[in-house]
Order: sequence, then C-alpha cells, then structure tokens
Amino acid sequence: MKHSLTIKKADIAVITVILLIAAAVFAFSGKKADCTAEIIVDGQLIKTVELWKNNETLTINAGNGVIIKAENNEIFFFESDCSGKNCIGSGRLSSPGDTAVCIPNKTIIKLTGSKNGLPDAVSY
Amino acid sequence: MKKSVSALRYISVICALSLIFLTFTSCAPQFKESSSFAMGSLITSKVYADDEKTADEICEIINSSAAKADKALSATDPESEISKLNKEKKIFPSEYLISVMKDTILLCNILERDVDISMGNVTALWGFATDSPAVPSDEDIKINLENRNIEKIAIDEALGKITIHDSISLDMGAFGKGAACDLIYENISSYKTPAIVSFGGTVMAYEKGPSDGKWKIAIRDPFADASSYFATLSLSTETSKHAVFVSTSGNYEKTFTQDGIAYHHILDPNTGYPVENDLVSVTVISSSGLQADALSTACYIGGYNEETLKTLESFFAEAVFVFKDKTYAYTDGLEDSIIINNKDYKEKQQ
Repeated sequence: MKHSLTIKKADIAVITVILLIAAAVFAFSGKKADCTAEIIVDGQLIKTVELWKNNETLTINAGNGVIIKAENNEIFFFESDCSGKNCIGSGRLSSPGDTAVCIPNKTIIKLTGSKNGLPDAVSY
Repeated sequence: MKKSVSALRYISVICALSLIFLTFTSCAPQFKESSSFAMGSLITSKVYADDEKTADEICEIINSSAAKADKALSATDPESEISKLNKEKKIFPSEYLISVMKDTILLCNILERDVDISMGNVTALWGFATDSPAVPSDEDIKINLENRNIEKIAIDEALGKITIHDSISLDMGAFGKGAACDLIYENISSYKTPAIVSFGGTVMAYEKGPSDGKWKIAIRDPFADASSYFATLSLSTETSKHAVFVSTSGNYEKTFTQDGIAYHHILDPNTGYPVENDLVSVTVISSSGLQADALSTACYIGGYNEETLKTLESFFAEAVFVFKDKTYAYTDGLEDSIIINNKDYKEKQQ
C-alpha cells in the first residue's frame, strides 16, 4: 500500500482559513477593550468607571475624605485626608490588575479587564 | 492515496478547532473576589468555588479570620490583645494568641540573631506605626535594646496567661501577617476549595491553582511602583497541607526620610537601627505562614550568605533574594518555578 503525503491546494486553503479564524479569535480576545476601574469603600462597590472609553475628567467623591479622579483612561487618588498620603503616592492606574489603596480610609481602586499573564496574587 | 489526504484534512481541522477551543478556554476560571482591612493591611482573596453560596461562605470565613487575627495581634489597634499586653504586661488572652505566641517564641529562639519580638520598645521609639516616624537618640536605642530578652516572656498555658517583664514590650511585626494567614488556612481548609489570599502582601494559596494546578504568585519589583513585579513564581500546593505561603520583606515598605537619609522599618535586633546590607527584598516560600513571615525578615537581616541558606534549608523553605545592584539569587528548589519578568535584573554572579 502506497502512502502519499501530497497536500492538495484545497487542503492548504482549508488549513489557512481555519488558522486565520483562530488567529482572529485570539487577537480579538487578547485585545478586548474592557479595562474597568472599581472603587470599593469598606467592602462596598460604590462606583465603576469604564476606563477604556473614558475621555472626560471625572471627579469622584468617595464620601469618606477621599477624592478620586479619572481622565485619559487613567484613574488615581487625587485627594485624601489620611496622614500618610501613600494612596496619592501610588500614582495613576491604567492597566488591568493595577490596584491602589488608602488603608486609613478603607478605599480601594481596582482595575479589572482581560490581560494575559496576570498573576493570582502579588507578594510585597 | 485518497484516504491519507482526507486523514490530513481531518487532522488539520481538529488542530485548528482545538486552537480555537484553547483560545476560548484559556480565559481564567471564575472566582469570587473579596477584600477587607485588618492589622493596617489590605486583605484580598479569590475563591474558586463551584457555587456562589460556598464562595460567599469562604469569603466570609476569610474576612472573619482576618478580623480575629487583628483583634489578637494588631499593633495599630490599642484594644488588641497584644496592645493590652504591652500596656498592662499581663493578660489572659484568647487561645489563638497563646498558640501564636508559643510558635513565635520557638521561632525566635532558633532565629535569635535576626528576629526578636521582645524589642518592641525599640520599634516604638522609631514610630514606624505612627504618623510621625523619626530617628530616636542613640542613647534611647541603646537602653531599650539592652532590655530585650525573649526569656522575659512567660506563657502559663494552664492559667491561660501571658506575662512580660516591665522593661520590654512586644513587636509582632515579623509574625503577624503570617500568623493571620495560618489562621485563615486552618479555617477554610475543611472546604477543599481552591483559594488565594493576600494579607498585606503575605500570600496563602490553598488547593490546586488555576494554571495547571499551580498558583502564579508575583514578587513586587522593589525598584518600581507597587503594581509592577520583578518575577513570578509558579507554585504547586502538593504538600500535606495542600497550601503554600509566600512572604516578602523589603526596604520599600514603611519608609521615611530625615535629613536626607531614607530609613526603612526592618530593624536589626543587634543594633536597633534599620538593617543595611546589599539586599532590597527577600521572599520566602514555606508551608507555614508564620515561618514564611519570620524567615523573610530573618533572611533580610541575616543577609545573603551560607548561614542564611542553611537556616532556610532547615525549615524546608525556598527564597528569592533581590539586591541593590538589581541582581537576584534564589534557592535551588525554585529552579523550575521562577520566571523573571523584568529583564533589567540579572542573576547574581556567585
């Protein structure tokens, strides 16, 4: 019995089309624009901001001495009545997985969204 | 001939379909997230339960365990058992605090050169836990350092009593978060549900993680902002406890600057001053939270040398050392589980 490894043009076409679909799906899911900021005060979600499509400047008063600003797809602690001001020092967040916290005021800004390779936790 | 071509077609379709399938399923499995605050730290957890009710229950247990640890060990809460012990020098605390203290003293006796909970008065002089830390006088440091002695702590288990000598107070800084992680582990381990908790940066991972049964735990980049990491560990929990604990001590936490000099919070019990060596952070991986926490501090203070590596080995712990010149070193057991994310870092030449 003779085995042939000849590949017909049609086969190449089929393989190419399917691989292209796979690549398209992969690219789409990897780049999904969905970065969203969650503002959590004392365990309660008080506001979400869809950062990926946010072009305006939003000022969010968390009501506990903390003022958060969002602009140009970034979000950050703008003002806080806490003493250490570590929250303000944590800078601007823009990427899924980024987190900033004001421990005295129990306020967290957490960015969610799809991003490959994020760890399950960070040790610091 | 026809047969083999159609077989090839068949295979290519399967390959392509599985590629598409893989792409879709590579999205992380669902987990429930929760957060709370205790011991001046942020606690975040992810619970991978099959149903919402179990996930809620476990999150609740994690947060209530954190609150219990806070009540026993918090340095910032004046009403915590440890704060009361420091004030009144004698208390009848919870069984939890007694068991933590027993384990802590055992560890202090082994790591005596590098960690000592009886130097609380020296820590208090620096005021790292307050809004206005400052460099104390040399004289004050000296006097308080001379008084430190682990033997000045007495635990009477029969009476449920802890007594400390008037001349000392306790600093549980190198043990608190680890002890809290151990408590969380004990309280959720009856569920057999995968979960990962970061207690202010000390991590407890339980059961099988979402990446081929492993947990991806990143180590913060000591030279960058808090959301950057320098390396990622891929850790399995194939121990008798089905859990792994990761703790990092770094000179970037709780710092202040006075007269142009930066001071960090890891005090050398031999000098009473922030430890100065070639390290910026040490991460320890252990099957015990308390040991991971204590060892990360002890290894930071002890420095990167034979003795420190021997200590780690005696605890069956692994470690990652990051140095001031942006080099790193790690113990042999991590060879297959560490990925360096920031390529600016180079392996230390031995």
